[in-house]
Amino acid sequence: MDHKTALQEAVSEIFENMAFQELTPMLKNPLPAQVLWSFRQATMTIYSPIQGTLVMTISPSMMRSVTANVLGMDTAEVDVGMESDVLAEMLNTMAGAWMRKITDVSQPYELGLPDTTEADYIDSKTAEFHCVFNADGDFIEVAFFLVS
Amino acid sequence: MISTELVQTILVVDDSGTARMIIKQCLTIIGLKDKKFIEASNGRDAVELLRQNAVDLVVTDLNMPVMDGEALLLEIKGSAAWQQIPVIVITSTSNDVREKALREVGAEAVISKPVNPAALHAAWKKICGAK
Repeated sequence: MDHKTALQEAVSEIFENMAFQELTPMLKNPLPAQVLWSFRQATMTIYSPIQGTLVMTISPSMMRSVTANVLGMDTAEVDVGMESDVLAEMLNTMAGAWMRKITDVSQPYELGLPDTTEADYIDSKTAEFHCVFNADGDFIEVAFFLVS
Repeated sequence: MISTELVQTILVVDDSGTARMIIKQCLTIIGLKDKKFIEASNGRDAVELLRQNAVDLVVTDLNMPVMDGEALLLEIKGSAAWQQIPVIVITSTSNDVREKALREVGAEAVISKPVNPAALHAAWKKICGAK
């Protein structure tokens, strides 16, 4: 399985298993760059077997509903701290699921610790590959950047 | 022999509060309810809690800052006071070889994230049968 297909599968599986959220893969992000302000973003370094950074970007409204689903609470109870923690844990779990799909059972892999931030835009032009998903009209992008 | 009834205190170790909450929910679903849950966000804090509490079960992540789960596992299994405590490792960084290595240094079970009640139940049943 190629790396992009494996990542696409891993993202779909993790959102379904952790947040009960079905994602529809899209060919490209349908939003123009200028409206992509204040997105929530999580990044994580992958040290081996490939070296690079995995980045997940998600709209604030989507992050709120995903967090509520994962934590089993109402969206009104969700705060930014909870969102950051859920986002980081989802990327961490996603990265592991992706690695298991692209590595042999005997091949070790090493992941860094996830970090979260606010993103002012999605710059996937320099990404090795990226996957975009639609979820009830909201959008999620996951991109992998090779270490240059 | 360890059993669900004998467990009183469970130490859950993960740097993610979300992961700790999911693990606690899964443990409750598989029957480990009405137990005392204590939590740490890294191995070093977990060791401190082990010193202060009589812990019956440890459920830990691997990839954590300060002191990772493998170092914690080695600390527990290398201690005369703690080596009998069952340790379940729940991690995003596991495959067959890594799982075997963790079992060799004393992990009773290794489960891949995202954890679910079925996987945790199967691991717990094995531990209860083996101890």
